[in-house]
Amino acid sequence: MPDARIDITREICPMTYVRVKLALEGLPDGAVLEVRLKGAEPLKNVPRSAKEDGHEVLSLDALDDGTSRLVLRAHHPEP
Amino acid sequence: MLREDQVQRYGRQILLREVGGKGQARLLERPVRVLGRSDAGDVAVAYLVAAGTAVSGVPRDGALTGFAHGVPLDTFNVDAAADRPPFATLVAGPGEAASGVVVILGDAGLVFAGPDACRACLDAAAAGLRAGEPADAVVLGSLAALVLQRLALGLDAGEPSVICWRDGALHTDEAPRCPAHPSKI
Repeated sequence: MPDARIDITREICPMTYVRVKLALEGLPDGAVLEVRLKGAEPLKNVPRSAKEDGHEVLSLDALDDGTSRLVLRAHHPEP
Repeated sequence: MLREDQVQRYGRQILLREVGGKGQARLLERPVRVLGRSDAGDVAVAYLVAAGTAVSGVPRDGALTGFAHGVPLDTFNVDAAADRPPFATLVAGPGEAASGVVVILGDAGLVFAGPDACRACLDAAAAGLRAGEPADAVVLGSLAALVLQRLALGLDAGEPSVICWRDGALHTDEAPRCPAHPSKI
């Protein structure tokens, strides 16, 4: 069960990852975020950007309605 | 907490690892006071305002050099109006004194220091700017804005630092120190 959910299926680059980044920032360390996304761009870039920012990709699944479900674990390194 | 229009406006900055949503909020919360005027100072103000940093001490009528085709500051960005005390001072013209977090623009470069830096050391470093060759105002102004943004984000701090234009490029030099700190000269 995720700690938060976000739907970026209506967003376009760069707002796709901006929304995810802000959502991850708002979660405590170790919390899980479920992202509903759609299209090739976010499918490729959102998991990659999340990993580059130090977060963990737990799963990425295609759904029957043509969207995908990405599950991320937030990691916030000590300042 | 960022407003929706701020998320839209600053989205590309929020993507930067060193900024993010929290960093963008810091940029919005930390106005810069501007003392004096120069072409490079006007460029710095343009970059600061575009990035969401409020400024005080500059005309609100768009009279900055080359700034946004004469669009007034507050029209260009509603976040440009400073409604809280400044976190730093940009000394854009000669003969102005400042304390706290300071960036001083000279013809040949800039110096900057954190709030606890020795003021005499800062003055000594600023005096060294006269030795270099004049830098392009756009290069210098945009660099000053970047330094102020890094200071606002807590990425730079401490003792005075000098960035000088020499041989067609920017160089980071060791800052001259005042007589009270001879070990660092």
